[in-house]
Amino acid sequence: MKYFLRKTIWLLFALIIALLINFILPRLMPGDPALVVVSQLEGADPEALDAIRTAFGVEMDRNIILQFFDYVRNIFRGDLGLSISHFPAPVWRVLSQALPWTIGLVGLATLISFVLGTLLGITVAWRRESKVSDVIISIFLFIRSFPFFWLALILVYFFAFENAWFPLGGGRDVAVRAENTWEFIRSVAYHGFLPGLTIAVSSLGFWLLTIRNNMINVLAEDYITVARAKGLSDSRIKYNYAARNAILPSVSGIAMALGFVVGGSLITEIVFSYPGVGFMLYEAVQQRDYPLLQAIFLFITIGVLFANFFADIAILALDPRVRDGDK
Amino acid sequence: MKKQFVLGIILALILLPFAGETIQAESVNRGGVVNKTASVQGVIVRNFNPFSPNALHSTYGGFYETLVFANTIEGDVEPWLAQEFYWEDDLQTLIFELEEDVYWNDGEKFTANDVEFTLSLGREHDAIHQAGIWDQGLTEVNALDDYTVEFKFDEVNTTVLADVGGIYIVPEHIWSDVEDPVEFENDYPVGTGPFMYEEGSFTEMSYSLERNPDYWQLGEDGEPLPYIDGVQYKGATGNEQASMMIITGEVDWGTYFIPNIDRNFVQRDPENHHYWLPEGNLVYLNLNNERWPFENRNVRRALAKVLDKERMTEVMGSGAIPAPQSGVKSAFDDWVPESAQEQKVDVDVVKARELLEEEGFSENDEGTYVKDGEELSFELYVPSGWTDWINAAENIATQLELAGINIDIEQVAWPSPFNDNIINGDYKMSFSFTDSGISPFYQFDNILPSRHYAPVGEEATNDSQVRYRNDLVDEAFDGYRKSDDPDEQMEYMQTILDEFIYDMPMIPLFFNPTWFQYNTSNFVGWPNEDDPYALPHTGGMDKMQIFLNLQPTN
Repeated sequence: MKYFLRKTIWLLFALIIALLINFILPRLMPGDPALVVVSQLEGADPEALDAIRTAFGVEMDRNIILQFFDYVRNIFRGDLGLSISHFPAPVWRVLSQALPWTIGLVGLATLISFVLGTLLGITVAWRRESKVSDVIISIFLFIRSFPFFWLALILVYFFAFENAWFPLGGGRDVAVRAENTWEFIRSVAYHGFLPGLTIAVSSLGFWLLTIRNNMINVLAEDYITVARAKGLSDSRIKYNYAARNAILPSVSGIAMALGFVVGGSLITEIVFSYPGVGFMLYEAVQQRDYPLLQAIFLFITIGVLFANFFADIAILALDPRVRDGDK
Repeated sequence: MKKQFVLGIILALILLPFAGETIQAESVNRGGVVNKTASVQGVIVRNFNPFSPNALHSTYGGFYETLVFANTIEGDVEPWLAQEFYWEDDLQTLIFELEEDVYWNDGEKFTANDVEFTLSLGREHDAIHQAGIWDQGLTEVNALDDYTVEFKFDEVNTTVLADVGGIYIVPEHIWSDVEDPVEFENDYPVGTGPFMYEEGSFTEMSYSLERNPDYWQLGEDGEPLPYIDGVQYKGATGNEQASMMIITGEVDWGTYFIPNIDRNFVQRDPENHHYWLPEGNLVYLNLNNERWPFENRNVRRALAKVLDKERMTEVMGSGAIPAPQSGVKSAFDDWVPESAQEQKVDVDVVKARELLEEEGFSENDEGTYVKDGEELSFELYVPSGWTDWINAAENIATQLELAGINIDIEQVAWPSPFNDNIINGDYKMSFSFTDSGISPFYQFDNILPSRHYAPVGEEATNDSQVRYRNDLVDEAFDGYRKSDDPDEQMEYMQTILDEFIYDMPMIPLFFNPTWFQYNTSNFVGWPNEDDPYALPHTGGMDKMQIFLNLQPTN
């Protein structure tokens, strides 16, 4: 219980710090965001400039502490301000166009690659003396070593551009409306296949190697030998004794990865013209869209913090030593 | 009488592109949806507010229309919602006579009250896009009767015609209930235009338009335009992704840069894949005329003598078109006087060196020119990430080095702080660009008149100003503005160009091309080099001429 309480307090504390940093950072950047808007709004006079500053909440002469409280209050109200690069659209409206796609694509691909990679890693470690294991490991070491974007470009070039087997980009077929549920899901899956494959294949190696290395260490432990001597079944030793211990670092890893899912996958999204948050973040930086930037960072921070929190809880369940240490 | 005249123009516009083609003028094909790149990077956010700087392109001309159409290729102002327009004798009152048979797409009638209302929005809300109109001497806008509107000005300035006539008119019966027209996203646009938003078509990366069946302009067959059934806009994350869409035929109309376009695009289907890259905005080397050494005309001229723009655009390989010293695009060649041609500074590095040496510069050990201990060594500002401009900047550095001038390229984020430097005069050399208009007047009016001037450290009034002052030029700008006689205006323009080419306050470099690729397998009637009836520009009204002209192939 004390462990749980400690983690909760830590979560709240980290959230406040994150909000504070998220609030301060854009205000330290050079350049005047209002001027960016004005350069788009031709002919706006200085009074309009002030009106725009107010609309965006960049009131230069207002007390910075009051500004911070306004900021926090607005966040709890769900009001993330107006986007600069998409003015007058509210940040929430802009972000909600991209968030579901990113969470769907990157989240699903990450989970699939984690599950596959981990299962494969366990098997490879268990049969570490077989030739097949060596081959699998060599293949994934090879895949891991070539750049992410190269794989994406190759896939798009051969499977979408030269041969039109898959679409060049986009999240779905433009003619398919969300009302036709089945067709819509098929279209999304069809469009998501190549980008999903890129993310899954290139991160699979990481999960595989992480669990494999741990697994090999664990398999050398005395209690595994004891378990064997007791005549327990292979699968029980493999999953309940070895894998359960070896998976702990992977759990922390996947928590981190899932937290970052909200940030999207910039390169995949660019290459496959996928409507995700990663590209939005990149565009927001280019156009100094501070309200949008702040919102995306906020989601990433919250994502990472909560993912870590849940990982800690999961470890509590998986690792008796954490519970015992509590007593 | 007037109506026939307008109809005549429209008919001529429609007939023109088919001259010499296999399609018979009488037979009209209808139907089909044109696929077009959305010219938006990444996620598309729904915004059909014509007063917002981020409205989607179909808002302009597709849903909402203007009183007149400023044709930047022909260089004139043509009727649109106003079938006729003229200045009263005092040149301070502008009259628009509106088309009488126009309806909003919700069935309400379009009248002069809508025009008066739209203009009043700009007076009440400074932050909306067209607000600048009210800073140009406009004092009142009155609906004289249902189809006549007068615009009154407190000074004579005939050049505002394209601006005031270029405002997108919105319906009073909808917008009078809008609380804040600045922050209004206008999800369901009600306009007079040839297209309507297709319900439910909006996704993160696409949306589509359907034809307005009761549009007021008629086609050759006597039925309402457009011939096509609709337009499908498709988004992409960037250049390469959008280029692939036009190369593979996923879209009919492309608006992106394609490297090595002949091999990558045309050769895939020489029959149907075409492109045309007409001259767009002028990009120039902005010299701060207020700071050493560019307050010296001969130094500026020496620089102009060194820079070989043909070579520069060749190196860039982006389709940019080299600009002549006059900075006037080829469509407006007849504005450039003989005298200015004579004064033209030819590219000649040896002469440039002589010119600098006459001014008292001498080479130091490193081969850089020095005068009174100060080197000809400058930072050249260029917006970070604008790769074609950065290539150009690198080429400028290489070329100027030959003439003993040292350039450091500084990449700065655009628009801020890039423009801050220019506005405050805290630079010596920078890249800049200016919009072109319906005559060379408009681009130079953004740069040369001394009303933009401010001492270094104070804010000059235009983003692209070089702190140049010349009384003759000021007078000529004033004269042009106060005249509505094209011949007189041409004379004034020639004075400006004479002075400009002699003084070289800035150095025209190249014209950004207007990116335009088209596919004739599904639709015909595209503008091209042989038939430049419209600028294939997707932002404003220009594209509408094309959409109204396209016909399916079968």
